[in-house]
Amino acid sequence: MCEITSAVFQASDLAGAKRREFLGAAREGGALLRDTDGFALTMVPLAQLEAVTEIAQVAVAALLALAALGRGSTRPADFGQLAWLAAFDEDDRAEFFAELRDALSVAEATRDAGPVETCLREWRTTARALSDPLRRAILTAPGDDDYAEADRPEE
Amino acid sequence: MHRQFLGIWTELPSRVGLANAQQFWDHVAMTPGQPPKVGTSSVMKGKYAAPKWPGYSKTVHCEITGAGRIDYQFNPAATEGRRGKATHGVVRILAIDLGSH
Repeated sequence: MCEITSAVFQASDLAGAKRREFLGAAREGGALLRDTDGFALTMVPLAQLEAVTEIAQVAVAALLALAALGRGSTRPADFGQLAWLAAFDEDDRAEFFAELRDALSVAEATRDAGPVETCLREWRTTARALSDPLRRAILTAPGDDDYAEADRPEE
Repeated sequence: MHRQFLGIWTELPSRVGLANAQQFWDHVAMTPGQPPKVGTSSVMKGKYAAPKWPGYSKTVHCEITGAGRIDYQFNPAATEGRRGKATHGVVRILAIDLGSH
């Protein structure tokens, strides 16, 4: 069970002097409101809710992709929203999942999805580059001397 | 510049705009290891992003204004090229993509 709020308020507090305190607690990270029948509601900053939702969605996507790999599938469709992972071989996929685990861990601790977004963006960008046959051929080839000097672009 | 992309490099000003092309040039000439002032860049991932020559960086992917994507590696202390043996920075452009995503 995850604890996301600490301050507890009653429904009647919303109409009284504690309303500002309730909003203040929500802005600070979370306020728990008990309705008259005991039903629990919580108010948290939108950015925090979006971050937690995104972290959960990415974690689920990673688990589904890992499950597909565990079944021996490398079909893009089986990787769901991580379909671009099919551009990589086994070693690179392992590196990706290790990086994503670290990013998810930091993001969960800080309630900031930034590390996860950066990880996904960099790997997705690489996958896109590898999906172009000419770029893939050059990017995956060992360094050679098939290069020429170029000048600053001019009219 | 990889010879495969010399033609596209020549077309760059007309494809992305002269100012954007020059902005990219100035960025990689001065600060290839830093994020550009305009556009975005990121270090590419996986084994194929590894340095292709001794002393070079991992592959950097730069998205320039005007829908251009350029992949490069750089060596801040190279002794190659037309500037001779004196230590200087060299940027090798591996690939250019001017297509839409």
